[in-house]
Amino acid sequence: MVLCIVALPVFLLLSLFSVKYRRLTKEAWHCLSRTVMLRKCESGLDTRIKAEVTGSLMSWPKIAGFTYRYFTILSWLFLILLTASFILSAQGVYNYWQYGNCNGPDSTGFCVFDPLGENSKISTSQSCELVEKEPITALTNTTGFTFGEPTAELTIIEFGCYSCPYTLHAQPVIQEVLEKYKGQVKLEFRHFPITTHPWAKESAEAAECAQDQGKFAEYHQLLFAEPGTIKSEEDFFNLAEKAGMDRGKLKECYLSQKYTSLVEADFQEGLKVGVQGTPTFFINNQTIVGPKPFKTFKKVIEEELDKITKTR
Amino acid sequence: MNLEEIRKDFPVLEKGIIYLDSACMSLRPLPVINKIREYYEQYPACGGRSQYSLGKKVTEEVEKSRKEIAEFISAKEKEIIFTKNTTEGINLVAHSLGFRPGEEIIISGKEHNSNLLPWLKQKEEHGAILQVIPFDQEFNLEEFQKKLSRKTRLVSVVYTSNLDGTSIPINEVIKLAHENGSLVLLDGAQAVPHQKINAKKMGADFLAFSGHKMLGPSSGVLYGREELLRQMKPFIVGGGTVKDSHYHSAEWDESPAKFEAGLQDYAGVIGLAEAIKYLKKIGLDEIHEHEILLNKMMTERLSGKVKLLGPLAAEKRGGIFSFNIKELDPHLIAGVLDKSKKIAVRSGAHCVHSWFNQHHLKGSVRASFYLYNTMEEAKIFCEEVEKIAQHF
Ligand SMILES: Cc1ncc(COP(=O)(O)O)c(C=O)c1O
Repeated sequence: MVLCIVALPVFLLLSLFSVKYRRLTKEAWHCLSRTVMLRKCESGLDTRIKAEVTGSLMSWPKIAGFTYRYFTILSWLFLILLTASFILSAQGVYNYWQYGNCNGPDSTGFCVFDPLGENSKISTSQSCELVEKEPITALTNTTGFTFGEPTAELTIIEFGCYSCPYTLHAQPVIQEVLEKYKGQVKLEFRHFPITTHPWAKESAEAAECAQDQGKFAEYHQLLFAEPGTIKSEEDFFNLAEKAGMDRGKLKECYLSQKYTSLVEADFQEGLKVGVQGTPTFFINNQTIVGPKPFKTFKKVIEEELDKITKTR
Repeated sequence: MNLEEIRKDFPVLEKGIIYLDSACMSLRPLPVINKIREYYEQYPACGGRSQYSLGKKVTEEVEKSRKEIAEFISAKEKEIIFTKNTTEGINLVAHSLGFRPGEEIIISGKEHNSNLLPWLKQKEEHGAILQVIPFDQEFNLEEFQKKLSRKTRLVSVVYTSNLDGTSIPINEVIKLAHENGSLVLLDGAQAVPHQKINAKKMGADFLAFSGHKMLGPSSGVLYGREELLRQMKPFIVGGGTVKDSHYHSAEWDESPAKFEAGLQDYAGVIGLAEAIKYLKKIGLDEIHEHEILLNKMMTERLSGKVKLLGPLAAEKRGGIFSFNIKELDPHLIAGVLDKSKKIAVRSGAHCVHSWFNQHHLKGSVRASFYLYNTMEEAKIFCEEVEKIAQHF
């Protein structure tokens, strides 16, 4: 009997793919509802399943015998596991759809739909200390460069690092977000140079120097466009030239360490609000860590935009 | 008997199947398959009624086959009626004899449904009376003698049981029945494929058997004594059964034509004759000996480990080894054997429900062999059965 309970959903699922299982599904249903009258020379579905399973174990007769004797208990166990795994998979699919990871919004655990964890990766700063997370409203002294239209009502604050592959990875999605929500959403970029990454801090300072010539956005894009181009300080100046800037001015600014303290201040502020790795995005009180798919951003943004319209 | 050569004639064996269900349906050798093919390819026409050469070829082949089959059981050609199977042969006799209220029919306690239901029908519809003679390890001759009476019109018994392979002492049964003035019908489905039968010497009035249990295609034969067939009315009537007909009357043809209504399964008939040639070439005695050899080995190895149905002596069970293991469901055992080593055995009541019901048994597992089974196969079968008996 329990076998028929197990068989029904399994065969039902398989019957989506093969006609053979449609007949078996019907049989399982009859077996469950006890509507079959077996003839003397016919065996019930449960006997056949039992024979199939134990028969395939006959190379290990003891195991086959054990399976035969405890078949009912084993079937119940199987049914429980089956149900549990079914519920968990459904949950996983839901999470993946919602957050880009099967295990939930903040997880970086393994997810079959995303086996390499591309959606969940973040790079963690080595210097990171455990800090009490302060409310995001602490980020009042806006100093970062802002992408998008200044009049946009919703601000995403990104803590990023030029040497971090994941920050780089998030770039296209950011681009997509800014395009799709043009006029509604802007993005403020704050520096969180990961200490172990070479040229991270320096890149941030060079970018700020570029803003002296009003070219932050271009320089920012170039730094991401060719990862690994920075091998010496000279490369910063070359990049400036490429962006159509005055090479000498940028060099002067950079060497004078004009923005060292600003970058450091950004980093400290990041730590204060609990950034542990890049990229980290703050959208009002919601946080997105790592390069998540567009739909993850979309969900948060829509919620926040909704709140804004409601308070108006 | 060169087993290796024989097995080459049965292509299905190449699949690694251990086929132990020949009592239900035997495998067919290539010569038989080719003969059937020959009919469909070279002369696929009507027999017995056409003037063109193809049709005449069919008539010729069918009559040659009838001769071959008649000779095989030492009967006359006129005494051979082609049927669909054993079942149809028995039904033919039941209807053609036509029973009246109070007339008695004696059967054994181990009848296949095919030799029980036709008589039950005579009982229900015409008031005939059924007498059942116990048949467990052996047929109860004493009881049989007691039951024979002036009212006994027919004794219809199984020659060899498909349930456990046991046979009825047919010589005594026929002698006693005839002394009593009763007719005898033998269900020879399990006998004709495995032993030499001389219908004339044996003296039975009717003998029904199936081609598909003796290397032939799906087909059946009913042997009937010439004088009886001459007097009997046909069962199924139609094309081929009359000499002439008018709107309100018909003149029946002679036997066997009057019993073979409509176009026949010519390929089946021709194929069956080819199967008989094949069996004769190998030799029925050799085949029988081979079966006993396998059965003996299995019996020695498995007795004590399984509950054997029928007598312990393998000679008394021919090519059938029917058994149960503890209280295990026979279907489960069959399923496990199939899954583990592709062993094909029958399970259940083998259409002998009445006997199992009488003995309060659910059924049994039945292994039945034929000329193509090897000792190696029998050993694998034993090994698997032993495993089940020990561990389940
Ligand atoms: C003893 C016996 N009688 C009758 C039959 C019926 O044969 P068929 O199905 O070919 O008519 C069988 C077949 O299993 C049999 O074993």
